[in-house]
Amino acid sequence: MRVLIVDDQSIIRHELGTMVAQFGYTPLTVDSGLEAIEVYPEFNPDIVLLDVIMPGLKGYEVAVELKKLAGHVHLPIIFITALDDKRSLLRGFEAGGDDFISKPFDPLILSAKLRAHMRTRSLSQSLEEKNKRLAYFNSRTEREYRIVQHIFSNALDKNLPKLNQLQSLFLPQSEFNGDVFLTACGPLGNLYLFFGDFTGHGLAAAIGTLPTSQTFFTMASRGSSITEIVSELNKRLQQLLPEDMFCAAVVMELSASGERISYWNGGMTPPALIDPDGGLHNYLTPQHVALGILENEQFDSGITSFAVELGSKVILTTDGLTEFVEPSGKMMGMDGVINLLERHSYSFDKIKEDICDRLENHQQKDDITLAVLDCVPTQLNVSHTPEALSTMPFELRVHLNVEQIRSHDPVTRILRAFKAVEGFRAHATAIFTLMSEVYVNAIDHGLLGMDSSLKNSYEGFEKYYLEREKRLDNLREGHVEINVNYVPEDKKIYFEVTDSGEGLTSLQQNEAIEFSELSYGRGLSLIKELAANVEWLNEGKTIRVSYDLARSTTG
Amino acid sequence: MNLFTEYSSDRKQFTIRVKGKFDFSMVQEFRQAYSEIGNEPVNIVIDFRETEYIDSAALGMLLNMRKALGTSAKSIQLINCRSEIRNILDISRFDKLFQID
Repeated sequence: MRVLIVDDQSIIRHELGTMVAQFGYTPLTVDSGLEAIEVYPEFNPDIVLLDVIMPGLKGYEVAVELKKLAGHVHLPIIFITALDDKRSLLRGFEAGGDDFISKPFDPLILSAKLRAHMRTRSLSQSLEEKNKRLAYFNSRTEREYRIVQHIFSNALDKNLPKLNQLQSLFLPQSEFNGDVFLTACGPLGNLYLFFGDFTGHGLAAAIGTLPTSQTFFTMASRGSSITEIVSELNKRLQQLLPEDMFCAAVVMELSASGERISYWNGGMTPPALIDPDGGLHNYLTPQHVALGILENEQFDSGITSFAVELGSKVILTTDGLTEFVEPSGKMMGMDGVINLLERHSYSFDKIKEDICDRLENHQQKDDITLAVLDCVPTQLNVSHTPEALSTMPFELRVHLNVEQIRSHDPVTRILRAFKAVEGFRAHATAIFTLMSEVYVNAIDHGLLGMDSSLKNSYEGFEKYYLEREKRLDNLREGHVEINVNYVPEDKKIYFEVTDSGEGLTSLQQNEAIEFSELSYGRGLSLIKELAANVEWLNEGKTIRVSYDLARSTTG
Repeated sequence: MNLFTEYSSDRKQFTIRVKGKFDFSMVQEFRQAYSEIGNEPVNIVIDFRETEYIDSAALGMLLNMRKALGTSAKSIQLINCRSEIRNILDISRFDKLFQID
């Protein structure tokens, strides 16, 4: 314990200093108020013994200054005064003094007083210490909250910007919450929705949003099916979440045409399907338990899928709204939600106002999310501006012997390379069909001598392919050669397949060019439609087709 | 495996999904897929969402399925066709034989 003794009389300084030292404490004596203030910061006393009447600064003036210097920690000040000087004693207390001692000094009393005041100071010190720690903790938590908030807003940033066909409102109970509403667009222009409610509230409930949104956005961008998406979400959440936490969710897909809905509902308030005339069509009832509960093997990813009339609506809401207790004491329920929407003609500004008004008089119990999806064409199908065609000509020759014909799929291989050529990708599907028909035709008829008419009957169809496989296995000699020639000036790919077979008679060639549906079937009619030109060369051993890259790929 | 099948949760719909290439190499697999369907009539959905390429054999398989299922298929819908696939189906006039979404 450090004790600062302030007195202008050296005899008192000496007497008190000696006593304090004898108690085992550390004294420092100064002879004026000014000096006391000067030594304070370095000496940092625990208790001050302060004379009231001194030349220069008076004791109570010094007391005010010292208390200021002590800040939040209590600094006990004990005035040294004469017993009969009541006036200065009172002023001393007013100035912040805590006690007094009078001459003659009794060592027992002084020692007891010092210990008593030290106890108060210790309490104050430990309180101050705790306050500091709390303030530090608070600011750290606040910082961490800000970081997490940032991460969350980034994670949900991938949500689609406002869509005309989708209205929603979101009234969370706290900054972080367990309601999740995600939207994404698939490569075909399909609209995906994830509408979920994690158990609990606040940060703990919100944490599951991160893996959920990542998985959902990634899979939607690939155009995955709802079945695949829910299986993956369940797997991730089951792995990640503690046992008592799970996520009730509706995962839904509206086709680009707006006429087909597929959904999976695990433990979520059943969304309502509303007919274009406003009548209730049905509820999309949950058939499954929530995500994150069942192990993979038990998890049922079965969806429900149905056609909807254009102009239908789907109303989705979390139980925060359906379980909202109306003044009548009744819960709002889905009927109440539908009524509310109808009353405001589905205008979300008014609906939000209405709900907020009701909430004002109630303690909101749960996060509230409400969304209405219009079943109309999504118009999300990003029309790719056609990529400029490569200007570099190239030729490609593939020569395959019997063994290589059996083990390779040259058309798929060529297509894989084609996709890397500027301007080819959009045509890949059509080019595949064309090349594949031409190639398969050369193998089947040129090398294997297959009879296409077999394919015309149901039993014959499969028999044809079994027979083909058998003949290919038994083929001893022969080869096939593919020549691909890209001519940028023509915007055309020329594709030639030559087989080592007998070739076609000129009559057969004529027939084939006329594409008699009977003998050659769908394959050749596809060739005819997709190719800009078809010709037989080399006595019918070579078929040469050209594909026009200026052709529309969408029919 | 590039072919996936699933029943809807009410078992009224049977979906077949082919990933990547739907061509003659799938003849048997495809037939096996729809032979799972029992006698109870269902809606058949062929989901082309992940189908990149098709050939005339695939078209043949679809026609054969239609023939084979007869009345046990309440409807056959071809869904999620990207425009390039749709183009091939249109050339073959499949819009007259199937519901294409």
